[in-house]
Amino acid sequence: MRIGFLQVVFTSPCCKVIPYYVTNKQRIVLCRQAKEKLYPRKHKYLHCSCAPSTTRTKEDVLKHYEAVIGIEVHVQLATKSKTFCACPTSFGAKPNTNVCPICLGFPGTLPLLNQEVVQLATRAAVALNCEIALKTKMDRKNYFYPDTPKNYQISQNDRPLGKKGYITLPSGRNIRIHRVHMEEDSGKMLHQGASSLTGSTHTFIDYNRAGIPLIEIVSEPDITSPSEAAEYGEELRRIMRYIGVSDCNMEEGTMRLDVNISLRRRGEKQLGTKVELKNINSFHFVSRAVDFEIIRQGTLLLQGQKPIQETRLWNEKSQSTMTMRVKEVASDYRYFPEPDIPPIQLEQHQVDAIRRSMEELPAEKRKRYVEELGLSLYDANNIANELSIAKLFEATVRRGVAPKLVVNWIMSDIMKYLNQRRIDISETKLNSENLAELISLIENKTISGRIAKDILPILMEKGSSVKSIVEERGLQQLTDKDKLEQLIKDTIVSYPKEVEMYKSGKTKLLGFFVGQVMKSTGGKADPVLTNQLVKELLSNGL
Amino acid sequence: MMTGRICATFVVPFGCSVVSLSNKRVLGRSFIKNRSLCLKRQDPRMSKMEFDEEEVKKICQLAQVQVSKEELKQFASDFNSIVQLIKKMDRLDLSGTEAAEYVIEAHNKLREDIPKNFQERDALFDNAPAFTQGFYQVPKILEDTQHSEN
Repeated sequence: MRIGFLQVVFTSPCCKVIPYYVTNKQRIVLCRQAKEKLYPRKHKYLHCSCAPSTTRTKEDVLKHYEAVIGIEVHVQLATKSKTFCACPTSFGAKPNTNVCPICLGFPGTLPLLNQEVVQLATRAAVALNCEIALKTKMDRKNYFYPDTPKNYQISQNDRPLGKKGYITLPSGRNIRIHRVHMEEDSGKMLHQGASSLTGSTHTFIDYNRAGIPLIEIVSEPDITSPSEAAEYGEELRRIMRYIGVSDCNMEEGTMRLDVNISLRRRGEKQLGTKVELKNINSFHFVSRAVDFEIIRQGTLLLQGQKPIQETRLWNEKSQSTMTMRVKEVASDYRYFPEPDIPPIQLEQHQVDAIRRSMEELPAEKRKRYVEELGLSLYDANNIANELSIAKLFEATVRRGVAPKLVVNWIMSDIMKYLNQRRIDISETKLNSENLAELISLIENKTISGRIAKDILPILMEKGSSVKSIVEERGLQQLTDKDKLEQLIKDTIVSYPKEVEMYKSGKTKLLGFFVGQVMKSTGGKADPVLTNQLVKELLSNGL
Repeated sequence: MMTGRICATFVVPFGCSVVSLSNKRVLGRSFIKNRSLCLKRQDPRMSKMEFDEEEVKKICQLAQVQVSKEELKQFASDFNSIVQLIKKMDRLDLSGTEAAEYVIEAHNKLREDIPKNFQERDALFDNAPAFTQGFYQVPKILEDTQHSEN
């Protein structure tokens, strides 16, 4: 920051950028317009061309324009060590503890590529239906920035590992994948001070993240709506988790999204000005950010202006995007083949083996559930969401249980139990055997549904067979008609007042009697039979 | 060292790759790029590489090398003479050979995914101009013109 030098830093919640000056006392002096804008005397909101009164609605915009969206995703590969050195990749380690001379870019060090990186990246590219480049190489991307110790990033440029793939969204649409390539991550910069734009002049850097393996997945601009953009992100995450390439946790940063969006007039082929959106860290915000951009760009276009080609940051607090950087010229990264990493040559039979041994992908599972097992689309989507749940479902169905019953159990009680404790099904002792047993015991009326719901947590925690639990605790359903009748008679006799009220017309009290009977049997009475018998006995008079 | 450094940075922007002078027989199954690169070399636009001061200034900015005005002139003529040297290769008949990206035969040099902690980290941090509270401390850079953080 030079004294007196005009810096362009503040942004208003629209596309306007406000200048400020640096004085010799390192104080920041705002020019008059900026002061007026930041600390306005009367108005609560900043004036800008996107003020609410002139903003058009989404419907207005979409009448004339359509959104063209492409998404770039960086996925961290689940390896134990970094891409080019043996440093651990553990999350949450103290700053600068998972570092070594190689990832810190010390002179004289040489990188050595991790074989697991190639394996996982190939698996990902195959799962995304890409054409795999059997002969691929790493390239050097040269630029200077504090988070890149070597002053270059080893990435892939002109021969990426995978090209021309596609994924199938739950809605049935296919989104094409432009490319999939391997690269290394950079360090983490923590700006000290009030915000990342102003404040103190220091930045802290933690290089634990530098050198961690990533794959970059770039989609073609096939996405057309905010919800589709979120769906794409979710499906990508689902696929990566299915094949065990990454756990895709947005909070831990193992999956990062950048959205590129432009609007073009309906019917035209030429693309409009592209705007890049960053700092979106959940799928919900993806659709919100795209919504906002459609309105913002649409408003500008409808007013006869053109959006600027720039990078914008998504601001969670204001739920809007703000200008981060306006790039006039594309960066010159001076790509050349990385001399320190010999090229990678894969054999066709290796790729075929990966394809054969891969898990059935979510899209295939959904299709199979709907077509072969007769599930609804909604149910199929939910069951196929997590691989562990899908596996439990399939194994239970294979034991002869009706799919719909399994679906009901999974989507209600089982998911509730898992969500409350924030665990995965694999961390419980419930397996397809005892789930199938539980459901069959309900079907043959050995136990009631109510009792089964109580047995479920025991199964989750301790496992063991359902039959043994039922016998141990005497949870068998009471279905003996005579015994039940006697019990009901006893209960009815002890509530003469309610009997009178029932006889005089308050038929709702039937539920009261049934409830009392259930209570006295500890929930073991067959509810359907009880209901029937109580009705009979009450109406026939005691 | 200075000329060597400049050499690396200027050769690259023009998309030249390592060219193998030996013919196919010696290299065997070396990594062969498609023929289009050979054609690129013989492209008349490429052979008109004359460096003026503007281009030299841009190259020095990319390489983060500070140059004075006098040095700019000197570098321009140095770059041109280096290009002339390489242009000599255009006089050779390379129609039988194909461009290679890597000269040696090696490929697939991979290592096992076994993590290992580097122990002498303090020696590394001692080299830093500023290292506090476990972090490398650097002056704040508002916005890099070429690149910004992920």
